[in-house]
Amino acid sequence: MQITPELVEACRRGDAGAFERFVRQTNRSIYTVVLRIVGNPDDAADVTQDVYIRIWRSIRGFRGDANIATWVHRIATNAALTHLKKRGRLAAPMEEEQMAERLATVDDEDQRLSAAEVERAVERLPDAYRPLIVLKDMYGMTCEEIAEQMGMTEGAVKVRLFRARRKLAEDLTQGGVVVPMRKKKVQP
Amino acid sequence: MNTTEACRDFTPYLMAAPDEVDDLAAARLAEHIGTCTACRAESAQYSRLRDSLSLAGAREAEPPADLVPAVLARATRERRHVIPMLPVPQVELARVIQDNREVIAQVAGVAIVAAGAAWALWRGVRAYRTAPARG
Repeated sequence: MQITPELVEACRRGDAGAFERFVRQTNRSIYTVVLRIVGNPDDAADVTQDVYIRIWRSIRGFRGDANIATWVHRIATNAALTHLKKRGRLAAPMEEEQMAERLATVDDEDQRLSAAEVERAVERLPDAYRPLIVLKDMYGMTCEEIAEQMGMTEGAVKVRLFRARRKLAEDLTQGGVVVPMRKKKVQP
Repeated sequence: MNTTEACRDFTPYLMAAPDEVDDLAAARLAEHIGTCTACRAESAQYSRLRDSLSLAGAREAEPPADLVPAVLARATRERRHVIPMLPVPQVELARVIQDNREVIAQVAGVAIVAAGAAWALWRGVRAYRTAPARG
């Protein structure tokens, strides 16, 4: 996500053309993080729209010394997490083919296969686990940041991450993507 | 693979990313996987899984074609609701207030304290003047 300070300043002044450029430059990354958390393309499109309206309403209050990409990412993840809380666990997960179609490809063939399998396994995770894996292992946030954003303690984040990774590993093992791991019924 | 009690203790740490484990636990884990081939293999497996997740995180999904037009249409509606209520000078005023809200709050605080002190002084002076003369 490359956003220049000039573009941000123009958006802060209420320049509609600048906001359009901002949307065109950022919509893929915002839609992607929202889709990964909510797990459904229709919901992701609606939440992404809400994210931009929140940005439009609050960008005047954005402080220039903060990182705009971090600020935008935070609004997007907050909106997606709020959507998940409202939805509970009732929504049907996205079909695998549907998800695969929406994913852009990367250069290396082996990496593409591996990443696609992992992405599909993440998509199959329950709503309670998926955001943790997305934010920690895919976007590199710290447990502290995730705890703050999700309203949990850092310890609770680590426990849920442990369970999420174990479930993910079991899923990939069943799919033959990784070799079987030992079964251990322990908690951290 | 044989799983010992010690292995069970280390299971959560095998899955954890390096930044999730404190130095003491990391040192104990390193010592354990130095001697336990099963845990070493499992730790490597989770490390590869985290690498794959990180790689997957760099990929971007393709948004629906109508997403950007829909966002812009909503933003336009939003502007129509806001702008008639706030003409341009007021929008600018609102931005100046927003940008300087801390200073404005401090000035307002000082003004309130000064007004309170002046009022208390005035009441004191008035009470002194209207008080009956003593002895």
